[in-house]
Amino acid sequence: MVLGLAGLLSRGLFSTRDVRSEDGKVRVEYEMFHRNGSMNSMKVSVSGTPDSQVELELAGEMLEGFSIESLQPAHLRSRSSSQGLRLRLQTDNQGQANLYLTLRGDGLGLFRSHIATLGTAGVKLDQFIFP
Amino acid sequence: MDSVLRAAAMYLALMVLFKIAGRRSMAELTTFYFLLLMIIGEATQQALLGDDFSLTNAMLVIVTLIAIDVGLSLLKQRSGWISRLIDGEPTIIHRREWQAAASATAPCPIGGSGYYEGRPFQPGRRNAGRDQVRDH
Repeated sequence: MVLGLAGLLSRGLFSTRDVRSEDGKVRVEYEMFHRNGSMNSMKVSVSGTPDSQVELELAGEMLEGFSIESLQPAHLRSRSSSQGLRLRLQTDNQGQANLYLTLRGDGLGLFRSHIATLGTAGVKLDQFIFP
Repeated sequence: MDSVLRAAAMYLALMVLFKIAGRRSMAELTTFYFLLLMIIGEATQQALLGDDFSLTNAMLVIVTLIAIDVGLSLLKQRSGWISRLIDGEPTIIHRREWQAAASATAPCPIGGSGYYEGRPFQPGRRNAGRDQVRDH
């Protein structure tokens, strides 16, 4: 019960993470602990050139352990890559683009992922799915 | 975290609701009331689990409900006020006036020792009138 309240079994103090890339261009807010079959949200914020397009790459094991239930706002274009999925987003007049995802945990265990824009280091995510 | 809070909130809400609705024994259960209990159970299940049917969530909810139940039992043992609040008090349905004359002859109606009708008594002694009490 204490573990649940603390967020070690999904959603809580120890589960919610907010990570930024070293150059500060990518920021991801996500849940570290998930439960199989449950849905959690993820927010990806990207900084780029104002009123232009930026390409975001979701790579690693994320798409193996999770199903993307929703993705808002709609991306301009998407394509697969050797690493995972690439999404083209439109930035606003301040050069900011936000992407809201709803992820449903389908797998079990630890999944290591990587979210980056082209030419940047990006951020690394570790997510664990409980049965 | 939300599962624990949901389970705790649901436990307390049901406790208050059934306290208001009143207790009744299984023998007094009508078909409609039995059906009502089943519907309440189904609604409760939906509220407790939501769309998360994982093993971890189910265990978390069960552990939370049991922990609250055991915690309240311990609190009831320690505090008479909490015990009366949660379990209620027996309702006296018949009381015969205590008579000084009867105190010398009537047997003590309940076992143990302590106070009965404000007067001390001991097992085996003829020292109190009879009261009939029944749990409501």
